[in-house]
This record gives sequence, structure tokens and C-alpha cells, in this order.
Amino acid sequence: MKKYLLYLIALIFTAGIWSCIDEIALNVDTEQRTLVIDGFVTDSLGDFRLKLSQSSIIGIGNDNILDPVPGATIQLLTNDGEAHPYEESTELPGTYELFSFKALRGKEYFIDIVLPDGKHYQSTPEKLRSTSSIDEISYDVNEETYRNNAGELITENIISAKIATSFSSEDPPFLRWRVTGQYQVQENYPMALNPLRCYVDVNLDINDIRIFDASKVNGDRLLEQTIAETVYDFRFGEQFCFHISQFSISEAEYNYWANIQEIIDIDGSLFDPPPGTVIGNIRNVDNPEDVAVGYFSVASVFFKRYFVNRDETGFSVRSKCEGFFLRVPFACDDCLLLNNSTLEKPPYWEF
Amino acid sequence: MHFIMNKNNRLKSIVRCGCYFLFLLLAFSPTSLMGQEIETFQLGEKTTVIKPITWTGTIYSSEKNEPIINAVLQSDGGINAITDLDGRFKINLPKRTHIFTITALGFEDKKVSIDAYTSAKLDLILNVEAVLIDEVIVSGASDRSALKEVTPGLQRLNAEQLETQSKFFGEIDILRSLQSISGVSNTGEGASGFNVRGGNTDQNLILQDGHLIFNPSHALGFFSLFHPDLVQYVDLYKGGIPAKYGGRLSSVLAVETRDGDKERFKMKGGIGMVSSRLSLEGPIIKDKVSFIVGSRYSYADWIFNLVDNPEVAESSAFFNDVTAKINARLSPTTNLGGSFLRSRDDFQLGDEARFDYSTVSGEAYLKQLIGDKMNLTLSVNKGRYESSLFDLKGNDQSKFTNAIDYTRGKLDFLYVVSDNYKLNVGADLNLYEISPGKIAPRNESFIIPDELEKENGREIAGYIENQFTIKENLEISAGLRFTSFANIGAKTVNIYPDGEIKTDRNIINQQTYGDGETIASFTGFEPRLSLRYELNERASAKLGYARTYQFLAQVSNTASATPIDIWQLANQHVAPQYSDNYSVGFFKDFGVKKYQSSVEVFYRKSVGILDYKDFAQLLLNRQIETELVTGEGLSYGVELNLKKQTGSFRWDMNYTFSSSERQILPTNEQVGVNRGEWYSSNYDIPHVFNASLVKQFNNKTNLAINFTYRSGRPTTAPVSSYSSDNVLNVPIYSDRNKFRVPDFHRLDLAYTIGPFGKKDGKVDHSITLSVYNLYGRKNAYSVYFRQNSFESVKAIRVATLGTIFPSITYNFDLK
Repeated sequence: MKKYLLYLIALIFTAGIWSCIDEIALNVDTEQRTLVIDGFVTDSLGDFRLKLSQSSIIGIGNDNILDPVPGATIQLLTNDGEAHPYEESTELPGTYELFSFKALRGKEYFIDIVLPDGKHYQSTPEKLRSTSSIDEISYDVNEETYRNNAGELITENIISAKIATSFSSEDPPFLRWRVTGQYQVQENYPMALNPLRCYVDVNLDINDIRIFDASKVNGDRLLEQTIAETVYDFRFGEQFCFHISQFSISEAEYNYWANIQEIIDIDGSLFDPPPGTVIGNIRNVDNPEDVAVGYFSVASVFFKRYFVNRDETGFSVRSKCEGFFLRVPFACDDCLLLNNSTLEKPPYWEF
Repeated sequence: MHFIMNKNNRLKSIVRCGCYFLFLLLAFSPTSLMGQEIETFQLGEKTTVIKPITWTGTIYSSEKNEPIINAVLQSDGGINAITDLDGRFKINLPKRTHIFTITALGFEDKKVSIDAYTSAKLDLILNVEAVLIDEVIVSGASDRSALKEVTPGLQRLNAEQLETQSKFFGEIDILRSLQSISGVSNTGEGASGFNVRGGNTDQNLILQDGHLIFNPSHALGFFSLFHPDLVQYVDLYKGGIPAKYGGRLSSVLAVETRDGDKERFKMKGGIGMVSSRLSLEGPIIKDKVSFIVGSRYSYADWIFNLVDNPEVAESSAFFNDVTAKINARLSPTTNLGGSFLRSRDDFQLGDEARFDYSTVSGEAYLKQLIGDKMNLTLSVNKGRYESSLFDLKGNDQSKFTNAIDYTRGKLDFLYVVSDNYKLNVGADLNLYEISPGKIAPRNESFIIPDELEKENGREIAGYIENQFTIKENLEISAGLRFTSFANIGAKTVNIYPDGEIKTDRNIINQQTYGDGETIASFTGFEPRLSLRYELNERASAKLGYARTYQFLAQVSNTASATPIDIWQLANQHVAPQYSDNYSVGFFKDFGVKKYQSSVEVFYRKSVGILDYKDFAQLLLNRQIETELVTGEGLSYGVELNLKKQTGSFRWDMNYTFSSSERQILPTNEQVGVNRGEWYSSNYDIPHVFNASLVKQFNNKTNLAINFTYRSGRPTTAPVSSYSSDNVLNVPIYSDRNKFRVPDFHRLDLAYTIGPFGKKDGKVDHSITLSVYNLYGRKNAYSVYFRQNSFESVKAIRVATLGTIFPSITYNFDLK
């Protein structure tokens, strides 16, 4: 009886402290919209996209669908008068492309945008910073228990990709990482005559901001910095490739991402800072009060791939189409049904 | 005939207990009553012989049978006396009838008629304000004293009133009790501190005896560090602040602890579900030296450990405190003492982070009577508040610490010049040493150890306060306080170009100041005025004005105060804050002392109020001035109180309508907030309603019901959103504090059985069964906004306590 009483007390108490998070209606009656700029250039030769849109209105359907802004005139300008015009995509409204471009050290770059209604925006000029290389990539796998949105306790193996990098302690860089993944799937179904192998791209860092201010490091090396985490599952059943981009960004851009991280991390805790609107680096040339959101980035980049092979982690895992019984798993008889999959073997693939 | 007549039911009950006042029953007796208010006593035996008559006696408290120090006896003939450290007095009287008014802080005024015949001893008893035996209603000042008290906005609570408040896990708490008073609120369950008339938490001067309290909260505000069994009374000055107090803009909370019993040992305590308390008191040298010590200790971890959730199981909430006081009566006119306060909290959230914070403070004091009309008090305090934040996970594990040390000296001199004039003069010295931040790595962390320079301040103040009774129905208290503050070295100061916004990139120079060298200094006069006009026996009107300066502000950019908030002294970049506080009140009783009502209107304008830029980085920032913005604050409102304090069914309700706003103008030297328009402060709660009902079933049981309603506090909500690279849902927020979280309301019950105990009255027990948040209201501490991919933004309510909390507490009192 005493035991049950204790459990009851504990239940009441903990239910009070940890379960009181629920959705409520909060009437935010506004139709405020703001110009959004989303684009960057780097010192790596390639094609670069810039998206122009209006921010979404809260509470009306899918807030993720932004209204594109077509018909703008966009140029990448330099401090010495160079102009690199963007071409508007015919397939993707509001998307503008700069082909075969590479930013050069020593120049200052800024974006210049004239909207169809004549409003004129420019970003703050930025210089390329020195590239910081990745010295080493490693990973580890750990069993982690957490509570999902439904309040259930979940235990999963999580793989963390880590890097080591060195830099000049006299000019410590501001770093940002973007990581994508790719895995292979071997078709497998009864009576398979010619099972195919697909290569599937996966997003690993949606809403996951990985930045670092190297001036906070004691020394000139950053060791075992986690840059991506994902569930260690069937995708690692054959071979998995991490594509890692390490950007050296400006201090202003670092602050921009730090502020974004702060507001998307707000979870109503006792110690939350009050939210604010993140100011990017783009303003209306004729009206300083008219501030667009987003950040036009000029960064140097160091790119590296890293493969993780089956079972070398010490944690066993099956591939997607391995060892099924009776029912063929989805896409195991046609791996092209998987999103972002291709039969074309990437030239860098190891096996 | 040896007895004292007292109509107060509470005292009757005490006398029934058979444990008080036997030694008071000497050679005097009341012979008749003069109306409802005045008791008549005969001094000595009737005689026709004319001799000099001397009245000697002691003024006692009705509650604890303790002598009352500094009680003032004023006669209609201009004869005055003030009681000494033993509560004794001596007055020479001509042979006739005298009307005496006896007043003392924390007690009801008493008016007696003395028929003086021969020299004799006559003791009197004052009732503790607004206290009836087993009373469970919660109120501010007693109704009669609200009418009589000259200071508008003064609220008094005593220990017994506190016992009747809402109980969270059966615990009594002063700060929670104060929040049932009109004009006092906080930002939600789990928020530290309290807000008075729309002011910040750091704008309250909090004192326990002479100890400066920088964080009065235990367990993130669910409890406070004041040990309820040691509290003699609590004064909260919301409006007219006497000149002897200064250094904060909006209020003064003065908690006085009592001295230990000088005759016998006593023990008192309570055992609750998450914490217990114990207090001991008694003589060290009988009738000369006494001690009192109280401690509380929490043990909530057993509840956490029962839960099958790793995050919860690894969490903990612990606090303890010790309050001790020693008092030595060196002579009938000299009292020497000391006290000690230590409070500690340790709060861990899962395995991610931990907070530690502690208060340590010591005091020595001397109270000296000079003649029978003057009283001198000298006190010296030294203390420290320290808080730490531990990052427990990852390769950036660290311990961040900040602290404030203070040394305080106070000299206070009270002189009862005449019937109609009291003079209070004194001086204050406060020395502050702020340690704004230190970080140290833990385990294999890459964190670089770092420590910011200390900041020192010296605050000196002198004051004079005159209390005049101009006519029988007109009383004025006029005071002036002069404060001088200096920010002093050693320190290196950043220099920025004039007329430009300060950023960490535009420091043009640095200047180094030597130890003790003045970096910046400020002075200010603070006039204080309180006026009471008695319209008739049952109605009075009051006016109050106070200018207040504040040189020490809490720097925080979280929605409510947190234990790790940094204290910032006024300096060459951060100007001192000051405010002008106005209040007007009308007080009226109805029936025969049955119903009491009041209306108070307040208005406060503040200058130099601190606020923060968006995304301000306050921890370990050597250029913290670059994150701060300053502006004006405006608070105003009306407080309505209505209560019934007699009979077996009593109630008390109050409603406050108020506004608290700020304006931060954009200038050449700072960015504005909301384009310089007025906006709601974090503490803007327009509507507050509190109600307390008490039903006394018999002498052994009572039921108390408390209800509170508050408008939701201001919040900033997203009005639009966008994607930026790999981040899909970046919110664009509204103007600061444009929206509000849902309204707050809660109903609590407390059912007390007892006291019951031995017939000799030496042991009492009681059990309190309480239910906090009876209907399980999920009051929003905060609202945040979440947007999953391909979904609309959702408003998510976080309720710190969102369910019903039953509890049981056992209390004992060994007398």
C-alpha cells in the first residue's frame, strides 16, 4: 500500500512538472510579410542559386510554402565594379541562378536586387575568409534514450560524425558545417533475376545549425567536434557516405546563425531569452527601415567525404532489403521508389 | 483583583490555554470602559494624599508574551515614554485622569484611560495586528491600522497570518503570501522574486533584519528563504517609503525575526512531503542572553528517483537554510546581538545543467536607550550572494559563477520629542563588490578559463524623518534622504566615441583606475512625504510621495528573474535609475468593525530603466554596456480592498487594475525598442483579483479557500516565418510584448486540524491537509511557438505546475 502511495505521489508531482506542455490557440491577427533572401556564393567553382520570396503568414495552412518573387533583377557586385548577373530560372519561380562562378580572395562581394516594383535592396559587402581544412573525420555510435513528441520513451542507436580541424590561433575562424548523406540499397525480392543497386541522398541537417567560434578554443586545434547526428539504422546496412562542407564565414554571419539557433531553440523554459527578430545583412537602399530577412553569404569552403561501412561500428545493423519474411519491404523490388535515389553510381563511391 | 480585561477573542483563548500572563496580574484592575475603544485602569489606591506619582510597567505582546521594545506611550497631556529593551517604561504623572495612546510597530494601537492616584506598576498588552486566534484569513495590514497608519501602501503580515496562506506541499511561504496582496504579483509559478505595482523584481529592497537579500527564492520561487517560525512580522512598503529605506525604486520588504525566549527552551517544527523545518530557542543565561535558531531542509529527490524517466530521475531540487540569532541584554537600556543567515539551493535539470545559488550573511547590532525618549540602533552586516551554472554535458562542460558581496552599516536614531512630534535620523553605508562572471572548464572541456574584472560601489546615505500630529485627525510624515553613490576602482573601463552606438567593435580606448579611485559618482535627494487625514472614526484619506534612487540593477534578459542574473552597478555607461512614486488612498470601515474597505491609486514614473537589445549576450561579456538600452517606465493603477475580519466566517478580497509600460527611444547612442513606442513591460498585469475565505468550524478545525486570477503576462509572438538555407522555419516576431499568454487563475484549499495537545498547553500538534490548484488549471508560465516541417505554427503552452497538488504537513510546537 505504502509503495502505491509513493507511486501516486510521484505520478502527481512529475505529471505536474513535466507533462504540462500542450497546444493552445493564441490569436495572432496580423498579415505582416517581409522579403526573404536565401543564397550564397563560395570560393568553390560552381553554379549558385538565390531564392527570393515573401515570408509566410502565420496560421494559414502550410507556413512553409513561401510566395516566390519572380521578375527581379539580381546581380552579384564587387567593390571594384565587377557585376555578375543572375538568370531567373524558368522552372522554379523566384529562383535565380549564377552559373560557373567562384569567389576570389581579396574582393568584397554583395548582392544587388531590384524588385519589379522598383524597391532596391543590397547586402552588406563581405570578404572571403581563409579556408580552414578538415584534418580528420571520425564517428561514434551510442545508445540514447529520449522522449518523443508523443511522450514515449524511445531508445535508439545514434551515430555522430565528428571532425578535427586546425587553424591559426592569431586569426581564429568562424566555422559553419553543412552535412548531407548518401547510402546504397541493394534490391532483394523473391526470384530476383537482376537486382539493382540504388544510391539515395538524405538530408541530415534540416533545422540543425552547426557553427563554432574558434576564438573560444584554448589552442589552435578543434578536436572531436560533432557536426552531424542521425539514427544508426538500415541506411548503414551496406555503405553510408557523409558529405561534409566546412564553411569559413564572417563574424556577422556567425552571429546571424547563432541568433537563429537561439530562437529556434526556444522551448518555453524558465530560462529562455525573450525572442527577437533576426536581422540579416540585406537592407532597402532607399529606406533603411525596410529590412529584408535572410543572409546572403560569402564564404570559403572545404569539402570532404567520409564512408562508414557495415558493421565496422561494432553495432550490428541490417540493410533495408535484407532477411525479410513473406512480405517484400517497400522499394526492395524497385529501389528507385525511394526519394532522391538514382541508379547511377557516384564516381567517388568506394565499392 | 488581578487581571487584565481584553476583549480580544484571541487573547481570551490564550488565557484559556493557561500559559500566559499570570505574572502580569498585579495590583491593578480595569474598573470601567470608556466606550468601545478605551479601557480604564486605576493606578494605585485611591487617596487624598498628593505625592509624586510614577507609573512603571512593561508593554507585552499579546501573542508571545514577549516585551515590546520601542513601544511609544503618548498622553493627552504631552507626556511621553518609550519602552526599553525589556519593554519597560517609567512615567511621572500628575494626579488626574490621563488618556494614553500606545503604539508599536506590528501591533494594534491601544488607547487607555489611566486614573492616577499613587505610584504603582501597571503592565499593558498590545495586540498583534489583525490577528485573531486560529485566524486563517489572509490580509494586509489590519483594518484599524490601515485607517490609522500614516504611510499609504504599507502592508503588514505576521507569522500567524502567513500560516493561513496557500500551501504548496503544505509549506508556509512569505513570498507566496505577499502575492495575495493587492499590487503584488509575479510572472508565474516557478518565477523567482515578486513584482510590486508593475516594478521589476530587482526594484524591491529585501531585508531580513539588517541582512540584504539579493535572491529571496528557494526552488525557483516555490519557496522563500524566510523561516516562517522565526518571523515576527513582515512590512511591505508599496508606496510611501520612509526615508530610512532607500536604494530600490518600487518597494521595501522588511522581515523582522524575533528574539529567542529568555526564560525557557522551546521547539517548533513541521514535517512535510518535500521539506521539513525545525526551530529551537531558549536562554543561554536566563533572563539575560537568549538564542533562536531555525533550519529547513528539502528532500524532493526521492520523488524524482521514483519516476521511470531518465531525464526526471537525474533531476534534483534541493534547498536548505539556517537562520540563527543571539540576543544579550547587557543592561535595562542596552541590548547587543547578532544574527546569521545561510541559504543554499541546488537545482539540476536532467543531466544537462545544474544551478547552485547561496546566500550567506552575518549581522551584529547594538540597541541603546538614551533616557526614556531616545533610542539608538547600530548594525553592521556583511554577506555574499553567489550563483553558479554548470554545463554538465558535451565537450564544453563548464562552471559559470557570479557573485555579489556587500558590507552594510546603519545608524538609526529615534527621538520622541513630544506628543505630536517624532524625529528619526540616521545614516546608511553600503559597500558592494560585484564579481560579474567567472568560467572554469570541467572534465575534458575545451572551455578557456576566464574571469571578468570585479566592480566596486560605495553608497552613502543620510536621512531625516519628522512625524507630526498637527491636529488629532491630521498626521504628516515628512522626510528627506540624501544618497551619494560612487563606482570605484580598481577597474579598466571601455571608452566609446560620443554620439555613436556602443558596440564591441568601436571601443576607442580603455582607461584604468586604481584601487579606490572614483570612476563615476552620482548624488540625489529623495524627498518623502506621507499624510493621513482622518475624516471620522471610520474613514481616513492618505497621500504619499517618494522619490527613490537605485544604483544596483539586476541584468537579465530572460522572461523572469533567474538565480544566475548578474548585478550591475551604476557606472560611466549605465546611469542610476530613479522614480517618483505617488499614491492616494481612501480607507473606510463599515458596520461595527465588521467590514473594511480601501481604494488606493498609484502612479510611478521611472527614469533610467534598463532593457536589452534583441539577442543580448550578458554572460561573461566585457562590454556588457553594448547590450543594454535605457529608457523610461510608467506604472499606474488602482487597488480595491474589501474584507470582513470578524466572526467565524471571514473573507478578504482585492482587485487591482494597473498598467506597467516602458519606452526605449532610439538615439545616436542606442537602438530603440519597438521604434521608440511605449510597450508593456514583462510585469504588466492589468487585472488581478484575489479572494480568501475562511470558515472556522470550532476551535480545532478550519477551512481556508484562496482564489487568484491574473491577466496573462505580455509575450512576443511570431507573426510570420521564412526559410534560411537548411533551417526551414525561422519565425519573424512581433513587436516586443505585443501579445499576452492566457490568463492565470488557481483555487487552493487548506483544512487544518488542531492545535491539539496536552492539557498543560506545553505541546501542540496540528495537521494541515491542503490542495494546491484544486481544478488542475494549466497556468501558462510561458508560450513558445513550434513549427514542424510542412505544418502551421503552433502555440505551445508550458505550465510549470499543471495539475492538482494535494499535501499533508504535520506541525508541532513544544513550549
